[in-house]
Amino acid sequence: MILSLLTILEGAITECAADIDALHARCAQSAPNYDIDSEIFHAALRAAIDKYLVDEQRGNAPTPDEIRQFIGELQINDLYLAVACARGNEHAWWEFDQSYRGYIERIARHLASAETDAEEVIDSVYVELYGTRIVNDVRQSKFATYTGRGTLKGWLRTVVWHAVIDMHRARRDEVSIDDWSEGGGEMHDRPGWRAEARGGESAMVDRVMRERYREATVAALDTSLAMLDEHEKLLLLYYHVEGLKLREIARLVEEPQSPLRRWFQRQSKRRVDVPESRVHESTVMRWLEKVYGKVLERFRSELQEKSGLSDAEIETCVEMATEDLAPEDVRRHLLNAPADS
Amino acid sequence: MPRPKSNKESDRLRRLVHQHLQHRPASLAPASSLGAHLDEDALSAFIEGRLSNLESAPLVRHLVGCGSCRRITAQLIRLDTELSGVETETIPASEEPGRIRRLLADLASRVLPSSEDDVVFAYHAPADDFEKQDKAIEQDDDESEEKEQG
Repeated sequence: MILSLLTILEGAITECAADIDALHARCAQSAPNYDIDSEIFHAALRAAIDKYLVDEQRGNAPTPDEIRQFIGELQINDLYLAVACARGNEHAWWEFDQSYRGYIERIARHLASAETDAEEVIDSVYVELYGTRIVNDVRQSKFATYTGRGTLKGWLRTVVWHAVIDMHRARRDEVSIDDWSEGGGEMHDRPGWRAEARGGESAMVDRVMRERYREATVAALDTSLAMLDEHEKLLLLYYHVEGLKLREIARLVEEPQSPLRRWFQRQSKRRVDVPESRVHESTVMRWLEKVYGKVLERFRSELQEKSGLSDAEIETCVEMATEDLAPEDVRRHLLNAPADS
Repeated sequence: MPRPKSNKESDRLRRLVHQHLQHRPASLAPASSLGAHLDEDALSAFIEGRLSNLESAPLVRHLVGCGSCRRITAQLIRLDTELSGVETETIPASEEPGRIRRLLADLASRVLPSSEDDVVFAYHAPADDFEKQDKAIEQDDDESEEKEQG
């Protein structure tokens, strides 16, 4: 870390020392036998701050107020438990096992297939959480990677999911996530613009026209999509590439702090007054339609200005891309298209 | 910003974008300079919507460009939906005295020493009060057994 950045960060953390101590005292009071001293607690919070608030590339360090807000939002009891478990504290493990084994078992049973036994998954998760490698005399517990930013339950769900994937891969030698997951269509080779294999002069003209429109359409769409905001792109990718349903996206943005939700709500005057209200599937659909509108506007202007296409030709491009017209239909479609106004 | 004028136009646009993204998902973001994949901590915090604008911006950027991480989040969202609303049972506190101790001892026995000199202790500071608790439970069990026999 750059020295000046480090100095600013250290200063900001020092200013928040009393807040961190107060959090530690609260945690220690609720779980006195976890044996986490102030130094260990400070180190855990420091790791979380480094990970989420320090931007080394841009040289940004958080202010004391940002740190206070950040630590105030942490799942502090979950983090306290995880830190104690990472250190192998028996009381903490007892508490963890009581509170989360049922959940781990449920996810493992839900995800386990015929090849991957749920009991094996649970065992491997516990082994990973405890840690079997020693580096510099420290056992590398998976718990040490949990920062308390999300809930321990959510983090465990991801850990179990990864364990199932790893086990599945080990069983199937190099099977990718794409093969395993039911979503992920982007790697599949789908036939796109229908390949033509027809002879004759008219077919050749068709091919030339078709190629011209194909290139123009693809370039215009690439440009139109590239100019979208990252949040809009992610929404499109979840819906069109990963195949998430509207209700699944609505669930992703259920939490008012969800980055996608906040971004789209900032764009919408209507919902800005009620940021806590539930996001319905229809809302997600509206967000998508707004994005389509942006794409359409840019798509048309790209084809008109850069490729010099007429309205009728633009329509043909859209038709070809969506209907995948056969070559001979291209000219017919153009001939039937209304004249440009 | 123009919204699609009709359901038909909206549907056509949806299909246009869909077909294009199916073939060229990378058109939304070049895969360069994405950095390391997201870890479990960042993935779950993102899915739970816990991150601030400052924290989420690089993650959103990464998810746009990284199909692998994006697919994982999509799978986790589905899993979350499938598991929602179902309570998980908790293990009764006094079900099996000493179980955690045995569990930790078992886990500790699997630790791989990095060198021959490394000595791995079973686990951190077993507490006396657990032993007392175990003994108390065992004593209770013995007493109830005696009562039943009596």
